[in-house]
Amino acid sequence: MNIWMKTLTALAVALPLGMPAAAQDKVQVKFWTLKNPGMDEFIAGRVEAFEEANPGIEIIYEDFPNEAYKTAIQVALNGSEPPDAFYNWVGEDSSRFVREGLAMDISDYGTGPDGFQSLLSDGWLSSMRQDGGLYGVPLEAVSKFFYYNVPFFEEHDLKVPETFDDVVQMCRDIRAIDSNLVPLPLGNSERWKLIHWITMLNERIVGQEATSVDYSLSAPDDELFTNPGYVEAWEKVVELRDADCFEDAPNATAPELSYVMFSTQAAPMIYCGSWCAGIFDGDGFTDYAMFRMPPVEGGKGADGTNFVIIQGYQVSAKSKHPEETVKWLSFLVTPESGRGYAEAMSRVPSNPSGLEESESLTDSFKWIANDVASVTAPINVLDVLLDNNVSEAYLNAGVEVLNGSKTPQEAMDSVRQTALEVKNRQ
Amino acid sequence: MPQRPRTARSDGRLTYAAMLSPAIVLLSIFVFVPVALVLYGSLFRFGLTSAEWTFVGLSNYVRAMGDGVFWIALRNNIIIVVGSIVLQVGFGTLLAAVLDRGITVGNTVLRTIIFAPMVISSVAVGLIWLIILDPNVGPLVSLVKAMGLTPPRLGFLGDPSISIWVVLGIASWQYTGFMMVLILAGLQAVPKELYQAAALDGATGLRAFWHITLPAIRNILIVAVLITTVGGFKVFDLIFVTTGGGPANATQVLSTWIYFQAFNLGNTGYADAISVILLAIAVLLGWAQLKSSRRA
Amino acid sequence: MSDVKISGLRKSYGRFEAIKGVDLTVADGEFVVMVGPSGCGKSTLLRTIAGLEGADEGAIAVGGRDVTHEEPADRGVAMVFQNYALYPHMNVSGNMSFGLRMAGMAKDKIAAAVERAAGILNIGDHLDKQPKALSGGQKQRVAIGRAITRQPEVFLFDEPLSNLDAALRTKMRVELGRLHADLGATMIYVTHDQTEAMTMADRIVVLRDGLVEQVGSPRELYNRPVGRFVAGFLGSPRMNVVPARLTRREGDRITVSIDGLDDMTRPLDVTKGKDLREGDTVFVGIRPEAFGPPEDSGRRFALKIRVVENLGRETLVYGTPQGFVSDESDAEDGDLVIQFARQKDVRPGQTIDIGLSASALYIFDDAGLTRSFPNDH
Repeated sequence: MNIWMKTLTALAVALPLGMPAAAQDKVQVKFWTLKNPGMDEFIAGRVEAFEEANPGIEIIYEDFPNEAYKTAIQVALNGSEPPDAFYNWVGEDSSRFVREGLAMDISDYGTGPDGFQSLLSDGWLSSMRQDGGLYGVPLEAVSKFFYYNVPFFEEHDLKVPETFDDVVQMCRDIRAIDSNLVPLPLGNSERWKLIHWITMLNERIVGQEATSVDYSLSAPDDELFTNPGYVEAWEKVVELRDADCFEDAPNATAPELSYVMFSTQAAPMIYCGSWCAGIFDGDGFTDYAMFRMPPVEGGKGADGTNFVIIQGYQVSAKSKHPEETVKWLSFLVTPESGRGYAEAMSRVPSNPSGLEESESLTDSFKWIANDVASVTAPINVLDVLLDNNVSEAYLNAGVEVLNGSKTPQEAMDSVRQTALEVKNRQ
Repeated sequence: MPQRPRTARSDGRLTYAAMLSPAIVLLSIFVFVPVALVLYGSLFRFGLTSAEWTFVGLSNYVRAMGDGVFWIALRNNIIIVVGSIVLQVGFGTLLAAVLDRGITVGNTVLRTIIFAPMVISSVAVGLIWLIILDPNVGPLVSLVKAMGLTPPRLGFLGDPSISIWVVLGIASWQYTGFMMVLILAGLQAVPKELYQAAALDGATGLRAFWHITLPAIRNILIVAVLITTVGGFKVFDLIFVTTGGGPANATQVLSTWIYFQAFNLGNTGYADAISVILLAIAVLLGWAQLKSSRRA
Repeated sequence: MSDVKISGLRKSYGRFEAIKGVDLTVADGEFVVMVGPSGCGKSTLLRTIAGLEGADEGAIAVGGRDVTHEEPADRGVAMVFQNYALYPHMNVSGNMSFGLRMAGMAKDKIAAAVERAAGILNIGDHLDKQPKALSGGQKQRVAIGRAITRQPEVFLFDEPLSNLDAALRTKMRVELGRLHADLGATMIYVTHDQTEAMTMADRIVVLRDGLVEQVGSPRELYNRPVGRFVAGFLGSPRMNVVPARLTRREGDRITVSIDGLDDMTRPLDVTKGKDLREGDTVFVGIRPEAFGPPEDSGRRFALKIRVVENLGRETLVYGTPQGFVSDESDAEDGDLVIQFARQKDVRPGQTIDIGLSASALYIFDDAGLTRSFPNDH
């Protein structure tokens, strides 16, 4: 026997012995999530608690920054060892994975008293239903409000706007008070800020029912995106721009800068996500209050709706341990986890039943959580809902309308043209 | 047992094969196989996560021909290539000539300062310039206003009519120093006697630069132009960070458009087709390089 | 008239004074060679004449025209560089015609000038070649051809042959001599090689530390050097110099003594310089070829041979003299070099008798000035 054979034999004997015995009979659940401030801390604590309660399961957890994740998850799901559970945006992103057979129907799991199907409301669960199946566990919701500077409003005797026209007028009033103030900073360099506006304007003017056939591209070709309300929604954006609501060059301004404008009181109002409250608090500015996007006069929007994006976890169709995986995901939506999530992330959890017990959550956060709970119909954001190519057309149309390089009519023409192309390719 | 000597011929063949195989294996893994996959993929319609690939023949290429953004991206690549040659190689030569002959004091310090942007990663350069060019708080806007001028209403990077030129300016800021150092090395290798001989023949100053200096650094200039051209066609990170291809695709280049189609819009087959077109351009440039270096 | 007149020329680089006041006149058609050890200022002087360096003080006139502040191209001079300095991207005819093209001369005239120069130098076959395709000798011809094409009043050569091998150097030396004869042009030639100086020059200028040490014909400098420096610089192998003592002075006759030899009395040929007194240290210079046979030379000493160089026509013997040591020679350790103008059958280790005639001596004072010359000079 030569030295090579000896070494190989020794290795072959040693390898199984070297493996920790415990790891061999533990079920490993691979879990991918997004890297957000506070997330790492929250997940680490939950993993510890879960593994203590379930000694037979080991959670292997990885997190990714936003942009990298979108690519990584697509590649990983097509690979041979995808994560068992993974973070996703509910809408086109989640339903595409369902259509392509990458996400698992978990209707049969998590039905016990500790299961997510018992812990979460039907409204929340419905966001994950598709073609009669249940394809994920919702974790949190993001909503969108007008934040306003309360002392400023009081000092100048400004009233909370009740209609969209009031908002436009408010911009003129604020500019009249001090032309250096930016009434409603936009920060559209990443393009999604204006899409949030247009999402809500479409709902307020066209109505959710009418938009849904266009968003899903199921309207007949000759009607697709032809509702004049879409053009009107863009015209509202032009009105805002012409009333000097926005900063100079909004397309070149970063979203972060628009937050800073509000928290440093260079801007008395901002249309901002529910996550913004935590940012303003962090910047040391807490004298604000919120209101929803007001109705547009003559619009078909329903009362009680608001912008709500749901995010959650899906289970890979290739997962070998769906039982254990769903057990872990259910653990993330218990009342205790929900409260922990809200405290760590300042985001609205899918299970709000533990929030009242919290001592650290701010009043504004509780207001947001209550407001989200009272939403009659969640309005999902355009770029999450639409086919990627159509959403891309919408994103660019927003930039061009703001720049004045396209009229509202031309903007909609380009969206309709892309929608037709995509529809006919399908 | 004495071995029979192998013939030199078979021995040589084996050695050649053994010597070449690592390179061939690596090239296959990292170049040939991916190229083949991209060529193959360009004939299909599929997304990154698609379970099914639909054969569409050459229609991805037809689509590119009718895709306005593809042509914008190609035009932008050409703007960056030509602009970079003019700015980076042109200014680099000018700076190198000044440093070589004109400035004797502080030469090294100046050279280091001008070269410095080169060692910063493009992503960091992009972020630095995002701050400088910010329309609300950026120092450049304040400077322009202080000079009594009006900054672009839509922002330096937000105005589609100037944004590609601003990006070109940033790229040139980053790489001109590199070109300068490259060309300076060439200038310093020109024997002083040549200039003295030329002075006696009546060529000094600009005439000496034209008749002696430029021909002497011709090969370095060719290399500089090639580096710039290749860099201009594969530019990605700087644009990705500063404008993301915007506003409304105004600064899209082929590489960002490929990335966008493949990873954001899920049109991987179409992205493959654009990649093949970019590859064809690269092969063409490589051929041109071979030709020009043979002539030199 | 294309004479060159240099007066009161000074040139410094920072604190270093390269030329400390040079006056020199080169006559029309003269071939002047400037020699000296490295750092003596000979190249700087040439480059200042060319206009490649500016003069700090003094004036340069070419053909009676003051060119001190003219551009190099306007001085009527052409220069040939040590490393040829051919334009690498132009072919031979391009190199040769460059100056005329810069001057804006008509094309047919340029062609004629190139053809003429190529004919003179025998490089007509190479006109279309690139410089890198030429041998060293060919490159140097092209460099000279480039100078000829411009038909300058004065040719300047900066060590043009030092990059060539010995055989080629000898050949080019002869050729340059012929060229000078053919063209009849004024030429100023810088070299550190005394053979080139001796063989080519009408007059030699010996430079030392930025000053002209001596100007004269090669024979003048060889036979009547003003001092030890010039005496030692010209002649190969170089002059042997032996320390001695002045034992007696009687008017213009001095007697010197070398250890181990009888006193020798010589005329005092040069009276300017310090006043020589009895007991002063002096130096005696003996050319290697000036030693004689012991039987008819008056003085004799024994020489222990260390090295013998048989050169065929002549024989060089390096050896240690008995009784005294040399201060300077081409041999080491105080030895002497003796040249026999014939083949001589001697071996290292052997001791032979050498004769020395008082009439063959140079006598230098301790400041290095020549005070007494041999009889026949």
